[in-house]
Amino acid sequence: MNDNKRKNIGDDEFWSIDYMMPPKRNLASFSKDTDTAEIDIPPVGNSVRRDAAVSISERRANIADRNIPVRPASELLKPRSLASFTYSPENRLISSITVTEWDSKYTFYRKFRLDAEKYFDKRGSECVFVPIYLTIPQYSLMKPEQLHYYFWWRSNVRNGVYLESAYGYILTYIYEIINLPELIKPENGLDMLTDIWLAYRDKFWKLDTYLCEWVCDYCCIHRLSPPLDKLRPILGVIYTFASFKEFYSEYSSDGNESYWCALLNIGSDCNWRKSKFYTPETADIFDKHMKGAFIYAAERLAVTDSRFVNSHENGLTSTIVRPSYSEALCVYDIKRRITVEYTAVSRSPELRRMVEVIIKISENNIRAILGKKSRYQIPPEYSYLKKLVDEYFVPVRASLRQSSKTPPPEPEYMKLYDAPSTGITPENAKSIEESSWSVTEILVDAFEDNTPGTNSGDNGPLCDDTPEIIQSVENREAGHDDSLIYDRALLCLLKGDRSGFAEIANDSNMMQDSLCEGINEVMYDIIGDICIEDYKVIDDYITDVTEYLKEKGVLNG
Amino acid sequence: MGDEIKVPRRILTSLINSLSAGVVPRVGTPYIAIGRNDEINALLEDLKTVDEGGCSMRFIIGRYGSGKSFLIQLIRSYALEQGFLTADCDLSPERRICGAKGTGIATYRELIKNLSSKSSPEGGAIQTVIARWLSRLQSDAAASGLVPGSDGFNAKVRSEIFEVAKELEGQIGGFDFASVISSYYTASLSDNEELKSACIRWLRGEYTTKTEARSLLPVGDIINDENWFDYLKLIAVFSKKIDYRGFIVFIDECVNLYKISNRISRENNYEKLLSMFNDSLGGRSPGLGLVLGGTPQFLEDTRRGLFSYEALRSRLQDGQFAASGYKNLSGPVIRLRRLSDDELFALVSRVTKLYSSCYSWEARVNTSEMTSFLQLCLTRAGADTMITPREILRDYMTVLDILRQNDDATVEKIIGSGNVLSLSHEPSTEVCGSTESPDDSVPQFDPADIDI
Repeated sequence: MNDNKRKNIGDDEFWSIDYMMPPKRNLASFSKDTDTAEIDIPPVGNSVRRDAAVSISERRANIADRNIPVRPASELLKPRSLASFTYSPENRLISSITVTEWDSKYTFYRKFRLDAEKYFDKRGSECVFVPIYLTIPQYSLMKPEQLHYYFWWRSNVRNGVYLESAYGYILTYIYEIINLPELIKPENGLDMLTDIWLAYRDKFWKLDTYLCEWVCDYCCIHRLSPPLDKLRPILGVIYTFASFKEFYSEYSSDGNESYWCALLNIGSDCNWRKSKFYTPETADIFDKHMKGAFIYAAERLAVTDSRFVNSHENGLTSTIVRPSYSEALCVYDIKRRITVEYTAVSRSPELRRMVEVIIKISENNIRAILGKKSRYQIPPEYSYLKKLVDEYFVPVRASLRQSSKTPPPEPEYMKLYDAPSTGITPENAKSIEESSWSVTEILVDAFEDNTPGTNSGDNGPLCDDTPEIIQSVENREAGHDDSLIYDRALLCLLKGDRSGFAEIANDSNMMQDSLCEGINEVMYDIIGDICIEDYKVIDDYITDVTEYLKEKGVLNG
Repeated sequence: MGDEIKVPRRILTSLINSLSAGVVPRVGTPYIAIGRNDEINALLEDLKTVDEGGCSMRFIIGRYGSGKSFLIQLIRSYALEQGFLTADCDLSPERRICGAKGTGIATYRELIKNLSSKSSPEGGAIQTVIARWLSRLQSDAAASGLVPGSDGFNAKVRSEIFEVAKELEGQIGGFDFASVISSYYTASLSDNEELKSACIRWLRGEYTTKTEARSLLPVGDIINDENWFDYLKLIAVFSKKIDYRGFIVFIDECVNLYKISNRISRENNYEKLLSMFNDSLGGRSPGLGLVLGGTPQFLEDTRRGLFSYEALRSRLQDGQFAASGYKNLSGPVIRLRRLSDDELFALVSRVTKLYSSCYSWEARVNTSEMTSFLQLCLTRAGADTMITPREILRDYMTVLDILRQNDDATVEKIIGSGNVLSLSHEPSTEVCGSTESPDDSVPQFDPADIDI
């Protein structure tokens, strides 16, 4: 605080600290106008004003206002018709739709519509993609380069070319369609909404959640039928997200079949179009046979179960009131309140359960046709439904079996495993058979003298010597004549003298198993097979063993 | 030489019974080895390589019924006779090279269960092999003058064991393996059956937790899904140390790997095969020979077969000059083509002789009758893709049985009246439960074919 001020303060006011408080500013009263305000921002940096610097508004005006036909002001602010009306659509499930004006008046978004009308005919020039991150996009919130790209993108979209886009641009386009019914005919608008939905829903999945509702509102307000043919590929998604599923059901004709189709599509929580086996390749079979099987089963169930008779006649009506274009940018005089009276398909939990079971049984059959192994479990109390649905698929499978009788061609590499068919020549076959004995000799080595230690000649890669195991045994120092031990042990076994055999093994410091193994190895070379099993001489070889032991002089004749 | 057939009686009986039943004979296969001379010689060369301390790996690929299992049994029998250790198993959904739920270790257990030696050709030789080796060490110690049971005797035997164990310790898992062998010797000295049993259990891979194994044995690890092949390599080294010629492993029905539906699981198995291949052909598994049998789809299918795995494809595929029309069996793949008509006739002729020898009965079949029978088999519908030597021999044995039991029967009457069993056009299963089928492809489906 400076001294001058301090001098002016009297003693009584010594304790007053009002002078220390910042002076109060008088604020202007709040304006209720929520229109967007444009602010000119002077260039940053140099204190010298650059002649080339242009304000944002000037730049926007340079870009936007070039070659745009100016609409008469009288038209721009012309109030829209707010009259209420009621009508009955073609959909037999919907009794009536009443469209009334919105209760609470508001003026925000009016600037958007003005700009939309102003820029409606603006064509863009080619430019690179510019990202945009606006949840409620408006022209006034876009940067000049974003605006530039939007017009270029919109020009292409109007010609059916879908360039790289951002959520903000798509929403802006949709808001134009919603808020400009005078400039865009409702029939065209519906096509434009559907096209933009199908074009970008893969990348921007939120379009599914929003456009399910906005398309419904648009059709209700403009008395249009839902574009089911165009939306058929994504009906499964629509039935998942739409709050008013009945609007999208195909129920435009009298009779039970239409009602059954509605039941199939929205009469349960089981959305078969979301099956992992429902692919572009299998969509046809799913669509065809789901409907066929359900109608087949429903037709037979309708005989005894009135719930499968046309529910429209049962008078189970419901009423819903929905605000149009919820969460969308929508000006007041476009916004409506829509009241729908309709027949709710399947309010019975039991009926919904039956519909779900029929769908699952049908899908099981279709999976079987497609060669897939996984199946839904069907509760046993619904076996009668299974029987009905399986009846439908019997001729389907039969026709499939006939069409797939032709086996697929063998791969090219299978030719490597074929032999030429040359016919039978006995002389040639005989020479093959005789020459094969040489291989048999190599493998068996049973036709040569197989006395241990004898080289039987080079008849093959490995037949020139007896196993080293036997040779290593024979190479022991003198005094350990294993062949004598084996012969004595073999004699014991031939006589059934098990204890004698054990004694010989013990005296030779060998385990009984090892002694048996040694004997078998020797006898394998002699008779071509082992001769001892479970410490007994095999019956087939008793004669051979006896002769062998007699030859060795161990067994007296 | 061909007229003087001296086949051991038991082998001959078993052979004839197996052929009549349509199963691959376990014994006696050399006597009906016809038409595979080149393939047999190639495999015998592999045995020689293994005997010399090298290693080998072969894929035997052929259609179902073309003789893969027969060839495997043939080489197995020969290897046993020549002093090799062998082990064989068939893969199945429960037995793979690697996988969850112990499917890899299941293969190892089956192999060790079927471990065979010359004196134990039917398997279960693990205990016999170790016992025999220890017995030999004891005999050598006794031969050097030491008194059995003395301290010096035990020390001498132990030192021999440690000598071998020391060489094994350099291998992966060698230390534990050597410890188990030593423990087995200790147990055999003290007649400790429980310890011996624990050692055998460990070698068979039957311990599922290290804790359980450690409680009984001085080991730090167990044989499991990840390391079982390392222990096969170890057994191969051990077999060479204890004077066997080597260790030959036969794995058949590899088509079960092709049938694994999960791609990740299938590729894990292929990766393990690649590792085995690299070890074998890189010389890192001395004394080990591997023979694997599979179908053409298992090898050559570029979507699911071995050729779908690029590393294996580049190693197993034929070179650019392979299509020149010349036979080349030096590569890792042996392709078994079908037996030609003449080879089938030679086979039938051979079986006739063996049958006569087995029953000591002169077969009343001449060349023209054999020709007629074979032509009847080969001209049936579907014979070009479905007929196999197994089915031909099974039917022929039926003809011989009828001739033997009915003196008034002739071949012409039997095959002319249609008494011969009709050829099966369904894939027949092998004795080990083959899951092969001639058509593994998923049926092609076109929605446009459906009409209500």
